[in-house]
Formats: sequence, structure tokens, C-alpha cells
Amino acid sequence: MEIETKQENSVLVVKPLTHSIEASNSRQFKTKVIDLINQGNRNLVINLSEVNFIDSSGLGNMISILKLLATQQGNVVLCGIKEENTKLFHLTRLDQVFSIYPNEAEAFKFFSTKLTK
Amino acid sequence: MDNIVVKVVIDSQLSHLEPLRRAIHGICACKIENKEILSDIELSIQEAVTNVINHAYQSQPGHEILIIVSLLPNEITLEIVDSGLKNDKKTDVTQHKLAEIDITDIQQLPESGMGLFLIHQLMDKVAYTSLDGSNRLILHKSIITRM
Repeated sequence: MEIETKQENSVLVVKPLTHSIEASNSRQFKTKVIDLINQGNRNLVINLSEVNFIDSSGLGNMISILKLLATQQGNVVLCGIKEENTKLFHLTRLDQVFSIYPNEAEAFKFFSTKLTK
Repeated sequence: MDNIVVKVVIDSQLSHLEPLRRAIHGICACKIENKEILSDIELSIQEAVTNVINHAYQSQPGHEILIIVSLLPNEITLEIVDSGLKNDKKTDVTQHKLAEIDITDIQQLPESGMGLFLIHQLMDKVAYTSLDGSNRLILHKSIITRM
């Protein structure tokens, strides 16, 4: 799975360039993101604007990333979730767990507020 | 439109899920134009067949999974048939406590086991039988037909 990254000060934007994060590739996604965390990145924006389909496996691996960052005083926010994927987050109540923003600009506002406190 | 039954067979490999999803989506789109219902069906079939591959067939390729799609006047049924290990959890949705978990405790959030919970949320009726070595998960979804 190809992932595009972009550093903005202390925030790393991670954008999976794939149409789906699901059972067949979600572990690969998690491994790549954990590598980025292990390189010292503690504040992540995951931009899901290219992803048309997410299943419970993809969701599970995002939870895994959230848990790892929580143990390292880090943060992960999601942005660009497509309409067809919002129901999955709602049914599992993960829309109450993750900070979710419509786009990268809004996600950066979360960090600019949080990191200046 | 007459009742239409379409059968699809895949091998027990996760890499076969995407073409399966696309096939099921295409078949159901002959009957449904509601995008939300199509998405519900697509996610449910993904979760159901992933469970068969990972649990019934223990992630081993080389086993057949049969999916029978029935386009009926007011509903679509999807039957997922395998001959792997029986999954007792499919008969008891109450085993899935996802809706009751304290979501403020991040470290307690489940990273797996959400598939069956989602299927029950997305489908109108779910049934599971296991008889003579054949496991059958039957999903029912009410539909809005084309005018």
C-alpha cells in the first residue's frame, strides 16, 4: 500500500493512496504507520479522502494506532472521511473516540490549539 | 422483475474480497438504487466472508466459499456457505458487547471482533445454521425497488 506523507511543523499528515483499507491490506497500513510513529512522529493526521471502503479490520488497525499514540502522549486525528464510511464510525461509536475533521486544514486547527496549550 | 438468483464462488483468500464485493455490488445494483443499502450489503458481505476465511478456514487458502444472492420483490438475501469450522458466535449476537463498551477507556477498545456486530446492525435479519458439515449464514435486507 502506498502512503503519502507530509510534515507540517510537528504534525505528520499520513494519506493512504488506496481505495480501501480492509482485511486484505489493513495490517500493511498499520505497519507503515507504526514505522512512522517509531521514527518519532507523535502527532498524526490520517487523511482518508482517497479511501472509498473501510471494514472492521481497517477500523481495528486505526484503533491500534490510537492506542499506541495514547501511550506515548501522542495524538491522531482523522480527516476526509467519505460519506460512505461515516456509518461505520457511527455504528461502532468510534466517531466519539476519534477526533474527526472534514479536511486537513481543520485538522491542523486541532493541533494548533492543542500544542500551544 | 422476476426473482433472480445468482451464485458466486470464491477461494478462501482475503485478496479475493475486493472482486467479490464489486461483483455483489453489481448484482444488487440491478435491483437497488439506494446507495446506503448497497453500502450496507457490501460491508456485510465483506465482514461475513472475512469471518469465514479467518475463522472457518483458519486463514488457509484452497477452500470454496459459495455466495448465493437472491433478488426478491421486497428484499435481498445473501447466503454465505462454507464447509469449515462451525462458528458458535454466529448464533448469539449478545456475545458482542461492542455497544456496551466504555469508549472513554481507549486501551479497552476492541481491535477485532466487530464484524458480526456490524452485520447485525446493517442487516434486517441474520440467521446461521450448521448442518452436516455445511455452515450457512443468511442475511436479509429489505429494499426499495426501482420505480
